[in-house]
Amino acid sequence: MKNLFYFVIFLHCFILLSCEEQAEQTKGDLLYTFVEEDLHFEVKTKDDYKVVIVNNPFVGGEIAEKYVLYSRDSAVPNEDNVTHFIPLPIHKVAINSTTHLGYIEAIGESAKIIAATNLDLYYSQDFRNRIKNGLVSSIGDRQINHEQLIASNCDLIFSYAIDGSGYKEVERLRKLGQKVILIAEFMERHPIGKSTWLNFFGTFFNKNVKADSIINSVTKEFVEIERKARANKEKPAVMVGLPWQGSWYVSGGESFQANYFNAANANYIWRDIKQEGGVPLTFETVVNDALTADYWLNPGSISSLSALLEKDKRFAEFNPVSKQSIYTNYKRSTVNGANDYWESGVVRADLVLKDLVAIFHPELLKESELTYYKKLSVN
Amino acid sequence: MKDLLVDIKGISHSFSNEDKLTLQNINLKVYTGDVIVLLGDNGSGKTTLLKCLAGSIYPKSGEISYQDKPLKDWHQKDLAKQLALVSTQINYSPLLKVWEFIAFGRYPFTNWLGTLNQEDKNIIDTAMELSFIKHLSNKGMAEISDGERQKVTICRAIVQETKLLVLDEPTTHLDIKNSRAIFKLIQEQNTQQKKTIIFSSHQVEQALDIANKIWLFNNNEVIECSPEELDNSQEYKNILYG
Amino acid sequence: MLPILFTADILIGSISISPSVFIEALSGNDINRAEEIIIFESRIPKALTAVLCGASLSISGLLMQTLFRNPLAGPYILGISSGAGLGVAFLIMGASLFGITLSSSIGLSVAAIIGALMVLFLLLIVSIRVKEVMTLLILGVMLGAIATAIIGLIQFFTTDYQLKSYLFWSLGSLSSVTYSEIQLMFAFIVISIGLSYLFSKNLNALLLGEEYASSIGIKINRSRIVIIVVSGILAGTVTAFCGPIGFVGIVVPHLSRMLFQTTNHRLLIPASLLIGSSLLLFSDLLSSILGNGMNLPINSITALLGIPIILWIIFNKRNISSGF
Repeated sequence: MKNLFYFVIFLHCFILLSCEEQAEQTKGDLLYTFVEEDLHFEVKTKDDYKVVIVNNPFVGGEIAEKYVLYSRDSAVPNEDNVTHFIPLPIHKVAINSTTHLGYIEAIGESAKIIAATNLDLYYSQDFRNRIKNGLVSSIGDRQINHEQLIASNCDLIFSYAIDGSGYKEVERLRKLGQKVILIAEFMERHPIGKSTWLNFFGTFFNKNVKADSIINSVTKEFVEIERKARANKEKPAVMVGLPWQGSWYVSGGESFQANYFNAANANYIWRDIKQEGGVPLTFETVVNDALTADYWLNPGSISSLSALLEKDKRFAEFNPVSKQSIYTNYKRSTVNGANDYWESGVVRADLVLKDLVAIFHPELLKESELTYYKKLSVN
Repeated sequence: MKDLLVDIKGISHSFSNEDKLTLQNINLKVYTGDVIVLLGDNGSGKTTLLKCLAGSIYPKSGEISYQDKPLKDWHQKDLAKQLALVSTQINYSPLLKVWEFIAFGRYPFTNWLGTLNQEDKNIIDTAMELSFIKHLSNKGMAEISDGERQKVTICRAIVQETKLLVLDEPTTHLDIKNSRAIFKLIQEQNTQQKKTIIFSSHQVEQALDIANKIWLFNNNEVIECSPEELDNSQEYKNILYG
Repeated sequence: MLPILFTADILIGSISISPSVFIEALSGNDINRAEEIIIFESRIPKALTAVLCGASLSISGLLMQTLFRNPLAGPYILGISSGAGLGVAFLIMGASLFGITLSSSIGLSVAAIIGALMVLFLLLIVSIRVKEVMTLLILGVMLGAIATAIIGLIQFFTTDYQLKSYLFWSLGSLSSVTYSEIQLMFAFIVISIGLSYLFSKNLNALLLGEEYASSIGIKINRSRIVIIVVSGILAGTVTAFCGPIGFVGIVVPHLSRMLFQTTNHRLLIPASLLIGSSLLLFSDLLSSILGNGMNLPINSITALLGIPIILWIIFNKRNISSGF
């Protein structure tokens, strides 16, 4: 049933965008420009089992992973080229990213997480309590500790690979008998695409109904807010980033960040750079492009305006510094570096968009309702 | 009555903490106008003593006084006006012209920038003429022959206008003709310029022609004698010739 | 040559500044604020830094080549830059251990200076007791090696992020030097170069060997100390504010000797100054031009320029020790 629902929505978009292949918005009355082909996973329902396929799980990774999910009581289905056969229901899982917690918690299955990496980096109070009570064990920090993972005795681990060497690490774990499920939500260029991964997890935990309903409401809200944003003819100019190791990295014009800005009806200064990832620019280029920007978002991990100016006095020249219109997405974060933007934020694209619209078009939504973003304080 | 120029008292030295001493309790005196030649086998300590004299080596024990003042009490620059050293190793850059090389000998007399005045230039020119190397002035140091280079180096010590000239084997590797020219030059420094000369050599006959004193090195001792005494002593000849 | 390169370095970069805009800016007229910032807050400081560093490193290298009579000597042969690197490595790694955030570049500069000074201090203590200058050279090289080894150990225990931070520092950068830092650099460098020039006589004499120099009245111990300290300050100042920048210090003295056919330091010092500044300005130009929108690391450029020049000198003269 859910597949039909998807199909309807995608058809809707497909018809609207039949001439456009790129996720580029030019018309004012456009809804979200989410195209199905972009989605990096798909779920195929067979008679009594499901096949979940993950395509291109990382940049340059022209591979497809195939997971077959079947009921424990039934026989193992007859499929070839299967990466893992997963008997459902699953009882114990490990995770390797805060986004994974975001998804699993949204469908109410976080009690099944018994092991995780980087235990300091989770925001959810509930999950942190579980960690404190010893219900979640550590399986490493920057790297997955093989022995700890094996000792945890999980049914599977949700993980990811960002490049070839990361994938080699995955293969090593598989040789050790572990079931590694690759999550590639970071490859989605569109915010709704990220949210849609909730369905991936819904399939694994048999919570598709819940997942569907969340995605539907998020999508609906997203579209609504997007429409509202277009009521304002003004498109404020937005700059991002901070110099690091000599280069000023900005999100490419085809990145999910850029898509958020487009959806929020803002003029992302570097929207014309046809790249999905981060683009290194020189300080001078940014001065030339963005000196007169209206807003500055995500300036690294800066905590205050004075800290910003301490890094480089020349930042004072940028318009958003004098207008004090700089925003970071650390509103929901901890001193250890946990940030809910990268946890529940990947599911709640609607709330993120709402924040952005509240920032860029304050007369449309009241600023006090910001969820993930906050204005940079002076000190 | 000749003045005492250098007083060498109780000099002992060894290299690298060996029990074997290169020099043991050497006591010698040098008077103004002397021409002293150091003779002896290789490694017998001739160069060591010369370096102690010049102040490049500090002997393990003993003291050398120059004009009644211990060497270590002399200011470097003042000493440079009294004593010139020509050692076996000559460093030079091929980019240097002969005239420039010789001009270094005037350093103890020039100002902090090293500028040469007219007097300096005259001294250099004269010295070069008297050594018959004036024609080499503008040649590069790498372009001249070994014999010419040796003359140039001695000329550099000459323009330093010192009372004492110390030379370590000034004629090694030179042919007979060049060798004789060098010895003649050294002798002239003594007879005409009234310089005291101390030098070492393996060219015994030519050296004895110009020296009035011999320091004969035997193991770690030094025997002082005159050329006649050497001639008349079988024992000394044995030490020297083996 | 120098003014042309200086101006070119200001005009060329990831954003092109046209000469007319530059002239307008200099005469105090109003121009586009962005271009104004680029010229005065980015280009001019960078060009000034290049001039200062080029001069400083060249003289430092010249001093080292003279003291050791060695054509391969350079500003960093005594381990000054390794010492600075060690200071920086401690800071970058210690920052995470103690939870300090590296907010400003001042911390890096101070750490680098402390490291360099410690090496300098050790060298001075030894130089007084050592007879031959070659022993000093070997000691300096060993000090540098020890520092490098410790840095390697530190790197083994650090995170990827810290590694990249250290790597970035070690690639050298002429940008992000503020005007007040430039003033500081200027003071140290100009005084040091001035001292070197006054020391020309001693330097010339040292080229003839320490024994001979001593015999014409040069105090060897004092000369060694002065040369090491001045060279150390010159090299250390550059490293503290810009990271280690290689090859310039080795190549430029050879170029000066070759172009002016002299070993007289009264000529070589001004010559090296000019050639060094020009070379580094040129390198900076190349790093902008070749970077295609980014600035390539300056150390790579100086290496790519320096090596062919050395090879050219060798083939031309068939002997790189010709200066000695």
